[in-house]
Amino acid sequence: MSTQQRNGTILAATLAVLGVATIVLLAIFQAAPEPPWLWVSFAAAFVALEFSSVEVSDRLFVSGSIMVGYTAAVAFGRSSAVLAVALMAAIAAFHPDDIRQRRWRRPAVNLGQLVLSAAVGMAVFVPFLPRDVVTPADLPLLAAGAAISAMVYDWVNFHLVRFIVRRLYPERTVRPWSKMLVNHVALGVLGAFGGVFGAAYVLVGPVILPLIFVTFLVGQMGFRSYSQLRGAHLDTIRGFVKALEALDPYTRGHTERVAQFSRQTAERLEFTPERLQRLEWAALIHDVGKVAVPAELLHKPGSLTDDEYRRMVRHMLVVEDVLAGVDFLAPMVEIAAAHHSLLEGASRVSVEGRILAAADAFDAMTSTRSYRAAVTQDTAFDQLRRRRDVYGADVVEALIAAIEASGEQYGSPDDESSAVVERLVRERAIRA
Amino acid sequence: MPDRTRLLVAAVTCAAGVATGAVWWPGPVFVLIAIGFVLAQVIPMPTPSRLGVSMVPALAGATALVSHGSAVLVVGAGAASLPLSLLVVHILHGRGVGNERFPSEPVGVAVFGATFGLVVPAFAEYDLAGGVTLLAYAAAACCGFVASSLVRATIAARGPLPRRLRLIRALEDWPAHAVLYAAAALYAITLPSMGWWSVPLAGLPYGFGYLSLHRLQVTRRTYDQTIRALGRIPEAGGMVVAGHMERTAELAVAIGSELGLGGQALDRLEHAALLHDVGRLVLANPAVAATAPSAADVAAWSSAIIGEAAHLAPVADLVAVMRDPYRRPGEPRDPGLAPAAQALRIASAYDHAVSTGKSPIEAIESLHVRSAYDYDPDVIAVLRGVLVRRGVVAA
Repeated sequence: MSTQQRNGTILAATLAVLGVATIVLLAIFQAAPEPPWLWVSFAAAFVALEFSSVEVSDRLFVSGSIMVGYTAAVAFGRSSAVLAVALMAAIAAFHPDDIRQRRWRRPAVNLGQLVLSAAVGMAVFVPFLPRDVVTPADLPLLAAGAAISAMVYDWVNFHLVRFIVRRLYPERTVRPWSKMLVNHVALGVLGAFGGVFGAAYVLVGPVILPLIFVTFLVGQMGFRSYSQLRGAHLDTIRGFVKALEALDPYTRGHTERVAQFSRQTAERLEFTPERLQRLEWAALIHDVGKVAVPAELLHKPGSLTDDEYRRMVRHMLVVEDVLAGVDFLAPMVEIAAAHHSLLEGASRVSVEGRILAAADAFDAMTSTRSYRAAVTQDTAFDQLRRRRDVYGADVVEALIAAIEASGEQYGSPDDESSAVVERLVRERAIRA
Repeated sequence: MPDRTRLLVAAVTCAAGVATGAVWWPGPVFVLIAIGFVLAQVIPMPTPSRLGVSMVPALAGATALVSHGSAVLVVGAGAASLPLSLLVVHILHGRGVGNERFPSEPVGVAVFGATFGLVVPAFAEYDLAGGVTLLAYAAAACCGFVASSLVRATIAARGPLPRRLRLIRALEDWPAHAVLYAAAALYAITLPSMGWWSVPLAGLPYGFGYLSLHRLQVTRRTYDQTIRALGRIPEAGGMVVAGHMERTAELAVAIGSELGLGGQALDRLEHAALLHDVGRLVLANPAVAATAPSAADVAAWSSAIIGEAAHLAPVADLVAVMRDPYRRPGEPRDPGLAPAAQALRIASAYDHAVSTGKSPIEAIESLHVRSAYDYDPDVIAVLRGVLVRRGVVAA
């Protein structure tokens, strides 16, 4: 057993003990939730929602379990709210996939993390719960209390997860804080509504439960279909780009590499995740227009004349226009078009366009084409630095730093082998 | 239904509704509810069938529950608001009485209101928080939804699909109707004990449902746009006649639906038709072009390119077999060949023939010439039927 594995087992065992100890303490100081059938119903909904979080927006996943927790807390009242929800969280720690595959470390970690988060969150909520029967006058305080405590619940959960991930998987990155802030607010809103639903349950009776269930079932179905379709959509574009690129032996793998260089550069420049993703997609589609370029231009051995270059750009623009008609691709096509306009001498180009152009140029220089050999990585860096007025000094230095940090080497291994390939390419051009 | 007839129906329904509603519910309540119906028309909820549904069912549901099942109020307010709603929709969206939702929604509301009004008096005591009242409400909502779907399939949104498929598509909209009726019931049931808090209480589930269906619709539209854009790339490169993919897809769907295909099979056929010539991009390579590849080669390349997207694997499979003959010399008809493959092949061949200067009847004749093995005469007959109905060729 490696040191990392041993540390992981110790951490999982500690968290599991903490989770169980919390439950035992709560069982001593709180009453059992009554009636049992109601707790079972809420627990079933809580666990089902915890196991099926939905993607409500681009990579923002939300689970409705927290809302069920607050509804249950109001329904059971001060005397058993914390225990009732902590027990639900304890069950939710055991995902069927983990049980099937006999993985015990993750459920143990989850047990501690979920029970502690739920217990802290509900303990914050208890003072907001009315001492006697819920009345309509209690609603504002209940909603506010549930929102605040739901955010505390999520904050504790996030910090526990971050602590655990850093201990167990030092190589992984935790989601940036900006994304978590959105999550906190979303969960605060869900918590507030959970509190109000709980009050509605107490005031009106169980008749409202099927109505809430129907609406959330439809919402869940819709988001699930959305998530699947979105995956299929991105998969379709990626698959097509790969297939179209494969048609040209000289540029095979080019877009994937340009996307990788662009992403690494943008990460150095601290792009937000959304901006980063947009740039990556722009890099993936930036050369699709080439499929419409006549073969005699695309495979011409030797440099293009000005007239030939204009013809090639015209053909590429036709395809860009076609792709710009897709709502999702329009902003990416704009970035790709900005990169082309930079190559044609435009001066005011967005930073995304400049990153794409620099990454494209670096990959082109370090790849062998029909008319010239690949240069060495150092030569490519020198060329980029010479054109820093075009790409921007910040972009050029970020790209170079990112490639150097990755430890990867692109282009010819040395000037000698580059010269040999160059000679072969020229001979082929003369023969053609 | 011609626009003039629709206007007449709208006017009569409106007059009857206003008269009955005003007699039974005089005063500001009726006016307020009627205004609510007008505003409800303006905010359509996205639906899987892409036709959308307004908030009218939600308002009808809430009105019925709050007014203790008064069918007169629901039907009257719905009818009274109809002409005004159409005017508002026309001003906002530039659509008149021909919009897709007319007249299915008023009929749905009328059936819902009447059913609820008939069922509720059967109970000795009207109890908003009682399970029986809720069951009656759910039954009435189902009747209203089915009625509006039937109307939609019968007279609204005419297109290449037969009535059976239009009904199936309309019934696919049940999630949106379920959210609207459930949110309305949530509002009405919690209103007496929670006051205005019932609005956000019903609003959150409604908003959750709305957001999910909206995102689904936007993603579906974008996906559709992407498939069409990818299919147009060979046209942009001058390798395929402009508009061939779109026309083939439209014709293939019409043939496929006549052959009994529906749902996912029809969507797959449409995608296959839109992408079936994408393999022509391989011809950009002069070495490949010099080998004079056959149509089967192009289909194989198209299938390989489409197959790179895992989600489109069934579409790739369909394109791969589209050039297969429906029978071979000395053999019976191939039972394993999907009817969609012949629909696609015949639609593509017909459009190609027409695009190269042949008249529609000459194009059909050219298909018949190769009907021994390549083109199934039964499918050609279906194509002819579609063209006859459209008035392209004589019966």
